[in-house]
Amino acid sequence: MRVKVDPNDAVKEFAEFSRRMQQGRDLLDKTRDEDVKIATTPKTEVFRQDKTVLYRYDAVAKKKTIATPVLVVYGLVGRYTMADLQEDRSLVRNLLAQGVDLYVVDWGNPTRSDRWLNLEDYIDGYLGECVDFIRRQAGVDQVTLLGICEGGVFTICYAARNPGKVKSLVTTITPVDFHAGSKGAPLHHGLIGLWARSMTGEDVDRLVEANGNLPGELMSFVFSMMTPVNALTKYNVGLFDVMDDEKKLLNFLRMEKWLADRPDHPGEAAKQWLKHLYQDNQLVKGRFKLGGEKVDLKRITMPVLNIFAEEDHIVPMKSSQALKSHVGTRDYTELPLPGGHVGVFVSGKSQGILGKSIFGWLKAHA
Amino acid sequence: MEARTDEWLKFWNENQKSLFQAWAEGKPSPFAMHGEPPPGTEVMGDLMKRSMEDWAALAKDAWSKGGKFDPAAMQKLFDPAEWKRAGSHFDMGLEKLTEGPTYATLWDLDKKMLNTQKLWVERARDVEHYWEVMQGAWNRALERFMKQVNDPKAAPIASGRAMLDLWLATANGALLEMHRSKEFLEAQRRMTRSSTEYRLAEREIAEAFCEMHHIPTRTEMDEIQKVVTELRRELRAMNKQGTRHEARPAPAARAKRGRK
Repeated sequence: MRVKVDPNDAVKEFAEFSRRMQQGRDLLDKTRDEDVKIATTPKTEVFRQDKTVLYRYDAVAKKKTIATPVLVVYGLVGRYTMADLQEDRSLVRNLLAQGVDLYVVDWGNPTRSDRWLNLEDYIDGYLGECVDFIRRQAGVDQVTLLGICEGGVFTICYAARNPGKVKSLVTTITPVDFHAGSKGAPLHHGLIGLWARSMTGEDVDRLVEANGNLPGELMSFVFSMMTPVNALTKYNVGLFDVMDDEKKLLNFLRMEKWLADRPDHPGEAAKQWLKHLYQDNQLVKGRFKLGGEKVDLKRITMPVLNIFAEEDHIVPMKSSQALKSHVGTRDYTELPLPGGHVGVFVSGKSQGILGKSIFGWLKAHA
Repeated sequence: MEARTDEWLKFWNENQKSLFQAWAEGKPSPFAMHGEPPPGTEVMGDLMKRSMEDWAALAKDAWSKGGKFDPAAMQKLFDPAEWKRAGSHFDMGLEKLTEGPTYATLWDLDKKMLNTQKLWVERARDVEHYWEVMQGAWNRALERFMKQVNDPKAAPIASGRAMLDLWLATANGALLEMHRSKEFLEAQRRMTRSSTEYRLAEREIAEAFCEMHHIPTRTEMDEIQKVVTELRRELRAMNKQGTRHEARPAPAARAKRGRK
């Protein structure tokens, strides 16, 4: 038997456990809703169509440093609030502080009534309307697109279909080759692709038919499969580990708030996302169609900055890196960052790097 | 003359009364001299009995309000349209006579319920199998953990937390291996699919009840939403086209520019 616990150490450990529990209870008692608010950077609604809302962040720097406005585009699996989790962990605040004119698109909370919306509606329709609105409002011909995860795919497709309207493209933690990155990777990497491919096309169709949309809870479950024990123990072991440190505790609670806010993915768009991209990998095969036309990645001729996470278990690094060999531009830059999928945006480590790197690259390509 | 008329009326009334009474009791007509009652006598008798009850109820209702005559109730009593109104016993009886069973839809709802029950059993079976696969991973995790705890060559475990961390890391590894396995992925796929099929069958029953009670069904709502989405799409395309036209200079302006 390897277990050799000194009775004195056991008593000390128990005392420490009790102290932490007491301190944590006191902290939780005094925590109020306003302490765990997320996405608090002031912004103004400037455009709305159906459930899609375009916001412009209020400027904080004295002057605009880059003439071209930047539009942040998140996907439908999750919410844009991740880019502005809290004051000291916010890509939005970091870019605003540098004098970037920043917009964000919010897709709203899709309900069953949105089940027929497809990727064309989101990319050519709503995103296209937002881009045109910014061009009109700012009096510019082109905007810079900053896509996150599935939103990165939206921006890639939009840029390929409307290269004249996109000054430059920044993609972050974006899947491009949906089949890449599983071989030789740690066990928890790329599980979402395995899950998607374990279903038949008919399974996906029937799932959407029964639920109208791809339920947000189902996607949360799939994500939790990648870190199974963490998902099971985060409210006891995980919470216990941070409960005597106010800063860490509030960070934990804000993160939980973001994770719990997972909207349903509109049905038809979910079918395309799972069948055409995850199952058939059509984007890199040049077979992915929007509005009846193939999305030709070679038409991405504007400068591209591709940022990915070295420990990304949701979108393997190689899946993002595939963009390099498919775009038509020679002005292509890669930026690998330490951390995981969400960590790139919300970890303390990446805060100093992400915003500054993007701003530096935007300035160089202004 | 008057006495003869009275006699005849009395005779006629008595005969009518006997006839209705016979129908109401399901007996052969008093005019039938002999033999079995004609076919349909029983049904007609039942119908007659219920119609008399309805009439009696309506008449009672007409006089019920403080014993006063109620013209509205009387109108209802003598309005032929009222006799056809759905829901009255009289009408239901008539419906039964005029409508035979529709074989195409016979036992339709029962079949749907039976199918749902069958899918429920399949779903329960697939959920059980899923948990069986999951349990296998937990068992493997425990086996590995016990092996590590009893390994004399490994570094000693000096605290409760170290032991917990070892258990969690071991369990995490076993669960991840299982999540990647074909067996798990197939069990999960089957569970998701059978739950989906059960939900869809459940919807069919719900929709049958909706139709019965004049409530729009999920399918109908989905169809309406589809139309709305398509209309929005068309509107967006039209607006876009309009904006493009506005952005283009007018033909006269273009001609003028061309001459310069």
